[in-house]
Amino acid sequence: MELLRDPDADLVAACREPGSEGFEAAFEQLFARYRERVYAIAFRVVGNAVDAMDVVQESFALLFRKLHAFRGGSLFSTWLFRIVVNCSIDHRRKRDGSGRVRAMSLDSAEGVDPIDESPSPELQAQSEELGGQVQHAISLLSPKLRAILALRYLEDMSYDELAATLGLSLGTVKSRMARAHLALEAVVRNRFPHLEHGLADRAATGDAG
Amino acid sequence: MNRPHDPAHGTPPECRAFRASLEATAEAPHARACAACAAAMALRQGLTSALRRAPTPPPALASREFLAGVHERIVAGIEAASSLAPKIAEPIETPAAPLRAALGDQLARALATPPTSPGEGRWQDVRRAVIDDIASRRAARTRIAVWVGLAGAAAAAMFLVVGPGSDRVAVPTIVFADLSSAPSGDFTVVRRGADR
Repeated sequence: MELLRDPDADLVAACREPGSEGFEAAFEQLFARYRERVYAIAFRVVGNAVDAMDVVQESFALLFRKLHAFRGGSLFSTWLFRIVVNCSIDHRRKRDGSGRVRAMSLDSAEGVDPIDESPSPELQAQSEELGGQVQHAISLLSPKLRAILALRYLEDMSYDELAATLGLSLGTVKSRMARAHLALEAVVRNRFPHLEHGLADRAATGDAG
Repeated sequence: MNRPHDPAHGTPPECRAFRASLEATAEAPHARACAACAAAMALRQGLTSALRRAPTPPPALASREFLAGVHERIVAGIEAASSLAPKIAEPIETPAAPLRAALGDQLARALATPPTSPGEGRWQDVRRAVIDDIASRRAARTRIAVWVGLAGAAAAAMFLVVGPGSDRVAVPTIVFADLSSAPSGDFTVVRRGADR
């Protein structure tokens, strides 16, 4: 059996020595390769562009600080996305702690709709178009549910990949995924009833943007 | 297809179980038979299609300034981490690189320069001191040998005069005698024949 080589292995090796000659070029390449994917995941979890940009910086800074601990037991991208998810959740928690946004967590309150009591003005503005409204609906879920939805649909991860990235068992991934679906559907029905038909119609025509 | 179930009665358990299943699709037999679940599946499909669309990143993400910001943060992080660890491992007296280079230079110059001779008189003093030291050590060794010899002879004499005689055990003498003339020392009665 032939093992697949990590496509980022060479760049990662060059990035291990911050003082070396090839460091900056490798860093730039790695950053360019992942910045938009990292941004998209961060955006889904934190809910706005400013915080998402901050998470991108934070994630890459943490990544290089911890790079010596990366042994190559998984793909570099798996490791990177785990860092991004953790940074995003931490970022969101700090914001929640400061009282700007308060969302119920389905992880601690099974069966309760995770409704945000005070949507931020920036989310209100984004809600002008369908994508923005869907993002608004996602922002009312707990950070963990947002993260699993982001990885599943933005990165098209399988359940096994989700388990590896999030450091969870396959069973936990499946149950969390199911809860994320149910919670998001409940939020749309309760808070954005007009979206229900719009989304279903666009899905039927293959355009959900 | 059935009519949608009455919301006042809540979602039936079979519908809840179906929607919680990860394999639930609009094409599943349950969805074909249940209008409410068919609508839920249509909504799910619409939501997942929307979720697959990545948000448009701001142009700043691709700018040189943003990249420089990330780079700065990395360097700051590494410096903050490395400024803590070596202070414990590295000796405090270790000179910095330029100072170490200057010291190395001085040492090289010192090794290349031949030492000046101390003079004949000084060498004679050293020679005399060495000879005196050897002579005094030899005299000390002789004195110790004499004292050890005398002590040994005294110990041997004491052993011969006092030691062996004082500890000698007397050999007992056995005398057979009649009871009428019993000796004054310890004795044992040996009876022969019946009791009287």
